Amino acid sequence: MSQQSSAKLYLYVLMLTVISGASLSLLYNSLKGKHADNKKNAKKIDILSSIPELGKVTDPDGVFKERITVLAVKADGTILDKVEAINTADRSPVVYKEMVDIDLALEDKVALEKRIYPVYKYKGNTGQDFYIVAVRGNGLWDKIWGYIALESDLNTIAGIYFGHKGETPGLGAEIKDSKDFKDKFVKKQIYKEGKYVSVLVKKKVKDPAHQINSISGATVTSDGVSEMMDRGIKNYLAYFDKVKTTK
Amino acid sequence: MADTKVAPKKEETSLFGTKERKLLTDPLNDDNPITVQVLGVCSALAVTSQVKPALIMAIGLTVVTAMSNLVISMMRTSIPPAIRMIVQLLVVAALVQVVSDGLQAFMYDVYAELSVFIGLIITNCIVMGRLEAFAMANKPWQSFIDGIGNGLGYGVILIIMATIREILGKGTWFGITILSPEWYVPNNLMLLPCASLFLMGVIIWIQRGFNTKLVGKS
Repeated sequence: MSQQSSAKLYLYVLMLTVISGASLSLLYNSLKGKHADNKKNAKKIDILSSIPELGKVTDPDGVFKERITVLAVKADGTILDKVEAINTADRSPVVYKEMVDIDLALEDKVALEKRIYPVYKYKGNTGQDFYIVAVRGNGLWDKIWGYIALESDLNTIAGIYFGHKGETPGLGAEIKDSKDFKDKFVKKQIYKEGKYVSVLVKKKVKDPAHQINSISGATVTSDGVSEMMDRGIKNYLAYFDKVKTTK
Repeated sequence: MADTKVAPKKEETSLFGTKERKLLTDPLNDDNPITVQVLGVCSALAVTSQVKPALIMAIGLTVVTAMSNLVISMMRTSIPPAIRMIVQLLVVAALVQVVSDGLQAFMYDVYAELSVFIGLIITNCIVMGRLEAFAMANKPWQSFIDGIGNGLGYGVILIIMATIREILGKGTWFGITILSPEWYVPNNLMLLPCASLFLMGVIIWIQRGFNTKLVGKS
């Protein structure tokens, strides 16, 4: 290759790299704000979908302002006030701008004893309080998570939402797509005769009040949901005890 | 007698002539990207367990193939041959990123559904296949139409496979219950990847049964 044509080649490559790099980063930066807003909006809709009386929510911000109080609790039951929860200086690299930003995915990076867990307290139409808690676990291919709405007895499940990053459509993804699967959790209880048993997902259901049937063909994801329900809700038990004693 | 140089006949191209219409209709049957060209087969197996993701993937691929065909065709005379494929890959990846960013900003619910598949479009052989086979040697408008045609051909096969797999595997079509769970026990085998393999074989078999022009083509 002659000097001239190889210089042309390098110039072409340089030009192409600069143009595509510059235009893509320009596009990304101009849309970054919208992306963040959309993501936050979608998260609020997911949280609210665990409340059966709400149905499809078109104004999640409005509902959050009117009906939701966000709390941050620790596994030992301590309730953090807003300033404490957001000021995460000793829990780097996590930083939150507002309470609703608290995300278990980010909390995963923090040492176990320092983690905080969000509680979304929802004021129902009839004045009854619902407590929505967040859980996170492992599916077959990647992470799965859920929002569980408990009635004011902090025992009975009112509704549930599941999300996943990369489960198979028709199989593991049914935890999110199948209304039937989610409905199975409604009215199940996490305490049995005062003892915490959670609501587990089993191939053979032996205890209908505290277990539901796994999805056929999605064993690993179902097991992941079960483990997530068990370990995830355990983080809130101390907080539940506190609420029950102060009632 | 003096030798007269005959000027090469300039190829006739128009907006919607016979050739252009053929570019749209050929990939639907005679030159189908999946069953005849055997391109893009892996995504056809992966996203066809339900009709909704299959349709979304087909639309996404059509857009990307058409746009990248257009862009590469416009650049075809200036791309240095030594880095031809890298440039093609750059254009495809950049286009997919634009589509992804756009969806994430303006159609977030669609983006959330597609999040896994968007990256898959870059790796789909149909995109690079058509760039090499057509866009590098043809004019922009024709290349654009070729992209649309191949996207449609891909979409047709995807919808057929997804329809069969969803109805037999879940009893629904696009989420609407067709075979009621009251009497139909869903055939879970149809939702597993192996089902798409033998289903594709059956489709190719049926297509060659009807379209004898394809028999003998390897």
